[in-house]
Parts: sequence; structure tokens; C-alpha cells
Amino acid sequence: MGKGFLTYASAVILQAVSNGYQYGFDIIDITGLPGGTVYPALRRLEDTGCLVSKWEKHKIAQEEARPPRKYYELTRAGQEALAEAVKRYRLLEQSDLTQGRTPKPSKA
Amino acid sequence: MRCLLKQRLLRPHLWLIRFVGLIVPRRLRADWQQEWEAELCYREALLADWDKLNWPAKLNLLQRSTSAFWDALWLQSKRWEDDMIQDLRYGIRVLLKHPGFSLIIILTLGLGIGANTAIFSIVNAVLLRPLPYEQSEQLMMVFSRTSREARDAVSWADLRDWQAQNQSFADLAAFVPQSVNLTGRAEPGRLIGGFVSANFFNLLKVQPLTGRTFAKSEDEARAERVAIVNYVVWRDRFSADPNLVGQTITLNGQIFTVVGIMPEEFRAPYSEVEVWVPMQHHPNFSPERKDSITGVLGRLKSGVSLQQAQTEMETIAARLADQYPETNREKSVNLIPLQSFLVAGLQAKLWILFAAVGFVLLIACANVANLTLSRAVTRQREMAVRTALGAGRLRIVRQLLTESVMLSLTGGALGLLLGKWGMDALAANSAVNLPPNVTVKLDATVLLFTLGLSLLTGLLFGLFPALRLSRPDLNSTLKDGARTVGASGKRVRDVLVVAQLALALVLLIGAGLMIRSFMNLLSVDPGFDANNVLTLEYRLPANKYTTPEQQWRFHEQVVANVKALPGVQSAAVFFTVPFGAIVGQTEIALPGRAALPADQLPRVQTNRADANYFATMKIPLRSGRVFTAQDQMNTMPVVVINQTLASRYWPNENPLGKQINLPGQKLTATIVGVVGDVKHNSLDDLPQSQLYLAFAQNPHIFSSLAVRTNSDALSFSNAVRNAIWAIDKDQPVWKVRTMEFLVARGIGSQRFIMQLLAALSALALVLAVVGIYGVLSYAVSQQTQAIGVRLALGAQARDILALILKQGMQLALPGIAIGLGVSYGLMRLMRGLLFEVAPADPLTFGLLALLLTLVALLACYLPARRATQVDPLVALRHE
Repeated sequence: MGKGFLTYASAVILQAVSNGYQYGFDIIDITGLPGGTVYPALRRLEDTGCLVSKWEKHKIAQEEARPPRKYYELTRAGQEALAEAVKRYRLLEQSDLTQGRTPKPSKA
Repeated sequence: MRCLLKQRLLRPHLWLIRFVGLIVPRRLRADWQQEWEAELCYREALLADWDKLNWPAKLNLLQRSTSAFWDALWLQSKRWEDDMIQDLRYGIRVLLKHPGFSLIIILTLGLGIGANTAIFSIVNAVLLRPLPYEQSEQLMMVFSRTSREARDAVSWADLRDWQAQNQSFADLAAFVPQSVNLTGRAEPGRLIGGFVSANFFNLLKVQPLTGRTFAKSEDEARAERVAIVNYVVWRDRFSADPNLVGQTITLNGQIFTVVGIMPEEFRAPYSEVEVWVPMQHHPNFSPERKDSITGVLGRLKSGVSLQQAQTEMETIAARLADQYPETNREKSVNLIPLQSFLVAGLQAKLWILFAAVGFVLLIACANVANLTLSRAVTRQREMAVRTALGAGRLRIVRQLLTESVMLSLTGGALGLLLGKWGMDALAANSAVNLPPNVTVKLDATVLLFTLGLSLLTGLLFGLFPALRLSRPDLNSTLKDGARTVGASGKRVRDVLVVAQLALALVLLIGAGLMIRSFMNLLSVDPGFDANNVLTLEYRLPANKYTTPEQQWRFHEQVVANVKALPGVQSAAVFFTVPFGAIVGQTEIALPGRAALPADQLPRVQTNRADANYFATMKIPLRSGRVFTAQDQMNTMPVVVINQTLASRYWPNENPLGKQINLPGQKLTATIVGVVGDVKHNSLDDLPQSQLYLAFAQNPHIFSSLAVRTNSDALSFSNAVRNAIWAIDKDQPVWKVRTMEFLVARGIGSQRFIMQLLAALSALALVLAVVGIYGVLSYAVSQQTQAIGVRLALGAQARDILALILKQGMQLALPGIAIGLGVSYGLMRLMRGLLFEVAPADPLTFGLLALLLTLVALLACYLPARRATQVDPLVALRHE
């Protein structure tokens, strides 16, 4: 892999993103991690190539009269890292992440 | 869902994002702000939809926005990364665009830093690094202190008592070096022997490579004859024989068993040693308290200070003085840390050299700073554009500093290479008398030093130009091509040039004083003629030549054989060679004068000589006669004294025929001759009282031979050696050298420092001259218009010349004056190195100041001449 092992928090975040929670605040809500942890982790994951960030379509944002939001997607490398981490952090499988609680994942 | 950003004020969470955003790197700021605002707006809109926009919800939004702070903090590292890489790439491009400029700077700095690295590596190895022994700060030299000698040898009996009675030392060991004969091999040879007590290696906490060290039983009288060999001897003389341990070797005619081999890195404390032997087998060994035979090395117990140990040893010494008044009265103890003892002579010299290279680097930096400043002018436009495009001042300064640090680091890399060569050359130069246990190498400390120096240099010469450049006057710079650096820029350049000249003068004066000192040394008459004289030493094995008669017969035969060789003018045997680093001393008493107690008797330098000695060495006879063949062991004991001894004790009488007592030799001799003074230790010796015994009457197993030849003395080495081996083929001879070599060796380190200082000051002079030339050239190009005006108004060429020269002298003269002042203060630090030259010698000061003035004048002349060739019409149109 060459990237070193993911921390538990990063693994949780990747899991959340792969489950469709792709916006920063959604990730904060669903993982229960504080914003001061999630955002730096998102930056780090993006640096190491596990995530890519994109802006939502302008049209949607314009319709709703607000700035376009940034969302994150798992890359192939991120998927591999997540799979490896899931093996190591068994608790991930059993977490609440797979049980979609409010708020629902926003549409990208 | 509306998220009207215009209503920000009512939304503290958005306001906070704005605020925190200030610390986000500018490049990322817009995106970052949008990301956070978008999330917060979205959530706010959602909450509004659910009719949940109450106070708890709003507080929650605010709370989320505080997380933005940690995010912004994390992004700080991005700022450094990107900007740093940008700076580096831009910097490399700039430097490659002006290769000449960059190359000159790198070369100049490389030389300066290299010189510093070379000298520092020696300073580090000798003064800073601890000795290569475990806990070396605990090691002390322990000397006897008497009223005449602060560092006298110690007797075996005293050492035993010290060992028994003291509490401060973990251990005390004896150590005295002396040459030993090695025979039984193809050619008889000589090894440097180290005679030690059995605990010596334990005290130093070293283990042998193979075999063992000495056992306590080997300290007793009639102990086994054992020896330990050092690595190099084992490798070279015994061809790394894997079975050497257990074999026997013949030292001083006796059989010794090799019991151990020391590892390659081990070095004996203050002398090179090739073979270690227990003290019992030292040719002069005596357990008597009255015979001071050995040096003593001690290791303090942990926690004991030098002061405590000194006090305790003094108490013990006082006790011994009471117990044994005839031998120990007024004997005390002198403790000197081993490290200080080893570096004593070198410290002053090393720091002086270190200061000298430091000056050279400063001068080089000043040059580079001036160069950078003049280049800065051409970059003003570039800087103005960047500022207009939004680069902050800090950014520009950082960019420029990156460039100068890149240059200085490259210069530092070059300097490391040059420094390594310099360091190797210095260490290999035998004139630099480094202690034997010092290895000079580029270790981590030296590398760190070079790195630090390079960084510092880069900051030093880059800071001011960077600060100046980063604050351009945008309007005027962008409109026309501004060419000046402004008034304060000129002032800085002038100050730099003045400083350069001052430093250069200090170095020149230092070198000048050393040169004068050295010339004075060279002109000293050593008292004999050193040309074409070959010398060597040998020691007869005591068990083969047991009686004095046998010893003398051997020496006589040697002279006879050698004299018979073709090309030999004369030959002589005697005891110690002048400049051979060994000098004999003995006490004298004069019958008929007031009797003095034993430890207050005057000591004089003593030698033993045969009948030919004075003629061979061409030592002039002032009155009376030298020894003859009639002076034998059974005839009246005679001595020859030198002029100083004669005038000191018989100022108004003729000393010939008078008697003189030598309590140490237990004889009373008659003075038969007075010869000229001889410098025995060094050319800067003060006149000493000297006395010669007749070798025929006082033979010894140890002897030196001097051979005066018709031509190159060294070419006679083999013939002379064979002449000796014709008498005894197993007799090792050593230290085959010419007198010229020995005399030159004595002043070797003086010569070396002189050469080094001369080279450095020449370099400094060149750099300073280039500096003043550069500054004046530049000033001329700045003043082209003014000169043109003057010329147009009727000024003559010589008026312009005078004008420019005056400007140049206005820089040079203050520099020279300051240099003189600083020299006056600093040169007194060199007092220890100077021979018959005052540190404030007016001749040297005056001559060199004049030299520098003339050279500066010359350097100013060229730009001045260029100024006179200005065409007024062109100049007036010149922008």
C-alpha cells in the first residue's frame, strides 16, 4: 500500500464517505467525530490520494440561492485502504454507519 | 432556501469563518471560505425549513464554525510547503540566469567557508572533542612539584605511597616512554617503548585486541618479562602474525614474551608507544625514593573534583615530606587535567588561526553583500511588479533570502570539499604538532558547523539587500528604470568596504609580525654549524656491555670506523643531540662558596662529549682546551663549561683550573676549557649555563653520533650505519637525521603559522581590493552625469581623477585607521608566538598600512581613469 496504516478516525471517515455521506457536516454528524478532527482528516486523506474533492453542480446551488458545497469521493486507493482498515478495525463493520440515521445523505 | 450572505452580520457563524479565514494561506482562502460557508448555509437553510432555527440550533451552528479554526491551523503547513517550493524553483531560475554572478559568489564563499571548516576540524579534534578514553575528563597528570620544577617526575616509592593513602583517585598508574632496541629480526630496529605499571590499561579502561594486559604480579621485582605490542607494529613489523601472542621478542638484549596486542584505535596518552613493558624492566628503574623516574597518570573517582584531589594529594605529600625529609622535603603535588596538558601549546595558535579564517570569511561576505546589493539595483523593477501584483513584503524578503541561502549552501558544499582537502593537508603536515591521540576527521560537529556557517553567511549577506529591495517606491520604479539604491544603500556599501579594509589590515599586520618573528628566529646563531652534519642515536644493551670500559670502547670504535669513511671530515660521540628534544641537567656546587641545601643547588644543562665533539660541531673554543685522548677514566676528572656559566659564576676571574662539584655524579672536576654558548632546545632559548663532561670518563649505554661530511649528509646514512654494524651487527641505531633538519624542525610550527597567516592575509588583501574597486567603479557609473557636467564646464582630466581618488581615499583611510586601532588591541594576544618583535611593532604597522594605502590607491586609480574618459555629451544624455 505504501501509505501506512489509517488511523481509526480516518477509517471511520472513509467508511462514512463510501456509505454516501459525502459532505463535511454530514460526516461530522454520522461519525460523531468533532469538526476539528474530521476536516483535517479529510485534508490528509485528500493529500494521500484516498479521497478526491469536487464542488456540487452550480445549477443546484444557484437554484437554492446558496454557495456550492464541496463533497468528497473515494478513490480506488481509498477503497483499498478502507478494505484493509475494515479488516483491522472490526468494530467498523458493526458501527451505526450502515444504519442510515438522520440526516439522510445529501444528493450530490 | 435562501442563504443571503449579505446578512452576514446577523449570522455570527459566518462572521467567524471570515475571521478565521484570515490565517488560511491566501492561495487557498477563497475555496476554503466557500466550503465552510456553503456547509453552514446549507445547514442553516435546512434548519429554517424544519422550523428549528432557534437558539440552540444557532448555537450549534456557531459551534460548528469554531471547528474551522482547527482546519485553518492544519492548512498552515500547506503555506510553507507550496511557498517554499515556489521560492526554490524561482530562485534556481534566477541564479541560473546570471551564472557569472552566481559562480563568483559560490567560489568566494566556498573559499571562505572551506578555510573555516579546515581550521575548525582541527580545533574540534584537539580542543573540543574529548580524549578517546572512557570518561576522559577524569584523567589527570600527576606531577611532583618542587621548588625548581612545577612538573617533575615521580619516584616509584612515592607512587606506592600515594596509591595506598589516597581517597580521591580510582587508580594511579606509572607511565614513562623510552626507546627500546628490538633485535633478533632481519635488521635491528628500535621501538618506542612505554614502561608502565600493571594497572595502566585498567586505568584507561581499554581491552586488548587479543591476549591480555599486565597482571599485578608483573609489577614485582624479578617479575616475568612480558610485553604488549601495538596494532601498527604487529601489522607492519610482525606481518600481522596471528600467533604472535605467546612468542618471544628480544628487547634491549633480553627475552620478552608477547602477551597481548592493542587495538588499532588505541593511542597512548602523551607519546606514541609501540611496545608496552612493565616498569620493572625500565633500564633506569629504581625503587628508591630519591630517584624520580616516572610520570604518573591518575583517574579521579566519580564525583571528586580536581580541587578536592589536589588538596588531598598535597596533604599526603606533606606527610611524606615529614617522614622522609632527605628526599621529600618541600616536595608537593601538581595535578593537571590530561586534556589541558596535551593541548597546552596548541590552544593559542589554533584560536589565532581560527580568528584569521573568520576574518577572511567576513571580508568575503562583505564582498558578496556588495555584489548582491549592486545586482539588487537591476532587480528593482521585478520586485516592484511583484509587489504591485500582491506579494507581501515578507514574501519578497523570503524569496530573496532563499536565493542567498541557496548560494551560500552551495558555497558551503564547495567549502566542505575544499575544507576536507585543507584539513587533510594540515593534519599531514608534520609542522603541526598534534597530540598523538588526536585524529582529525569530518565528524558530525564539523558538518554541523559548516552547515550552520553557510546558513549564517547566506542570511548575513542577503538580509540587507532583501530588506532594501522589498520596499521599492512603486511609482517611480515602474515608470522609469530606476538605477539607484538610494542613499542608505550607498552608506551600507561604504561601511562594508571600510570594514573589509580594516579586517584585511589586521590580518596583514598579524602575518607581518609573524614574518618578522620568523626572520628573527632564522638569524639566531645556534652556536654550532648545522650544515652537512649527520646525527643518530643508539643504546647499547646493558647486559652485553656491562662495564663502562666496554661501553666506551664501543663508542671509540664507532668514531674510528666512521672517520675512516671517504667523504667524512670528522665524527664524534656524545650524549644528547642539540634540538633532539632531550636535554640533560645536573646540579652544581662550587667549593669555597656558601653551601646551599640540596634542592636549591643551581641546575645547568649538561652534556657528555668526546674529544672531537666541539670540532665536529664547530663550537668555538674561547679559552683553555677541549677534551683530549689523555682524559681517561683513570685520570683527573675534567669538564668544559660554556661562556654563560663562566661569566655567571666567575665574572671577574679566569675559571680555568677551578674546581666544580657535581653531587649527582658524585665527582669533583676541574675546568679545563670554556666554549661558546649553544642553543640546545630551541632557537629562542635564553642563554643557559652549560657544562660538558668527558664522555671517556663518564661513558653511558646511550649515545649520539655526529658526522661532518663533505657533501649532503643524509647520503652517508647507510655507510655510517654499516660502519656501526661492522662492530656489532645486532646494534639498532635510530633517529638518523641531519642537524639542519633538527634545527628547522624546531621552528617548524612557527614557519607553518607564518605561511598560513601570510596566505590568508594575501587572500584577504585581494578580496578587500576587489571590494573597494567594485564600489568605486559603481560610484563612478552612478556619477557619470555629474562628471559630464563638470567636464563640460571646463574641468581637466586631473580634476576628475582627483575627485574620484578622493572619494576612494575617503573609504580607504578610515578603514586603514580602524585596522590599525584594532590591530593594536588584538596583536597583544599573539605575544606568545612572537620572537623579539613587539606586538605593537611600529615598523610593521607603518609599513603594512602604507602598503594597503598604496594598493587601495591603485585599485581606485582604474575607475578614476575611466571617469576621466567620459564623453561629456554622452554623459549628459545618459539616463
